Amino acid sequence: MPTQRHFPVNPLPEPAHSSLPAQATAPALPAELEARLAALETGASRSDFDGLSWFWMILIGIAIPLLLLVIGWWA
Amino acid sequence: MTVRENLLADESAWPLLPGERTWGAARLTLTLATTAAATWCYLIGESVGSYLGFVKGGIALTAGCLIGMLLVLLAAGPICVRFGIDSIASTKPQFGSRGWMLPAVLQGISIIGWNSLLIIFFAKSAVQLGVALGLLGSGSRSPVLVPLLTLFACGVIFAALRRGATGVSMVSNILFAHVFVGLWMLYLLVSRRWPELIDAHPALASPERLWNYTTGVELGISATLSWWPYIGAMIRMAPNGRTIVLPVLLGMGAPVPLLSPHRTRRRAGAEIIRSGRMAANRGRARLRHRLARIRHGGEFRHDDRGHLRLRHRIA
Repeated sequence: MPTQRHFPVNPLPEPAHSSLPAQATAPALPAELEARLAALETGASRSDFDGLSWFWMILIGIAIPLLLLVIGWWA
Repeated sequence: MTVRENLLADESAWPLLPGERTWGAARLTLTLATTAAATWCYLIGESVGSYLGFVKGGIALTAGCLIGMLLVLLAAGPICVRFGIDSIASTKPQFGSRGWMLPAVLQGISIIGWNSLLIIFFAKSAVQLGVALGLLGSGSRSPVLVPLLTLFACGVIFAALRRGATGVSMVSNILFAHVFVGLWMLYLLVSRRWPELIDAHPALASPERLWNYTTGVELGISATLSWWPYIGAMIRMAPNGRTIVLPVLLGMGAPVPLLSPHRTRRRAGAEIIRSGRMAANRGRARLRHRLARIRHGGEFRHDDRGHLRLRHRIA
């Protein structure tokens, strides 16, 4: 089973009229904003929650409140 | 990145780059805790104290606040931290490039309404402080001073908010002291009036135990859910998700149950004071009766209007 194509893939022909007129008429974003978004998209995964963050969230946001609810009911 | 560019990025609603996010966990905790304590910590406990006692109310409020803060963190945290944007900007994927105005308008109405209330509270409290310190006469100047102090507070807030999240952080560094003042007041109440606090009965408690308990938890959840529009503007200053988790859950969630029961206890304290006054009145009435018997040979009796009248004993 070949893992690569041995023949070229022709690109689709360009449509005569744009199928997305709203996008064509939408105002362009400022260059500074475009640059910021591009920079953030490339390194996005570094700023997400990691395993320790999820541990604290489950402990403080779910486990401890559940325990408090049980203790409070019988208090 | 220059300082000027950093300031401009802070003041604008544009996404913040990682190099512009300079807040660590300590600074975020301080800002969030001060913001939580300064806005309405002291008002939530009064509502919970109407339905639940001291211990149960504190536990229900703590559980509700932690649950609510988790929901807020999950709603705003991932997108605000990843792209360095505030909560309202994070609604554009759901509401569209024009539809985001709906949450923005709702937030604006909420901010105007709630902050107007807080500013008026501030002005009235400042006048009361002036009266208590003997700087002002009682009552006569309030109609003029309250509006003037309200305008002054508006000016201070405007000057602070013009600097964006940095301005909020600067003010928080000063106002953080009042968190300790609140905790000190709490310590005084608990250490000196513990038996009365435990015995105080919630004024509006339902006969149904479950209803009271769920109401206390729901008040905590709903109160902290209202942080969603505000929290994005602060957590976007942090570099990653790990930095914001504990400051949000504990820095913003803990002051509410810690300082709110202040009002729970205050309500209970009001009952203590009221019962004390009633006892004192009863004592004074008994004393009057005894004095009347001794001095006048008669006694005081209540007339039809409830006023005390001296009636001489007929020999």
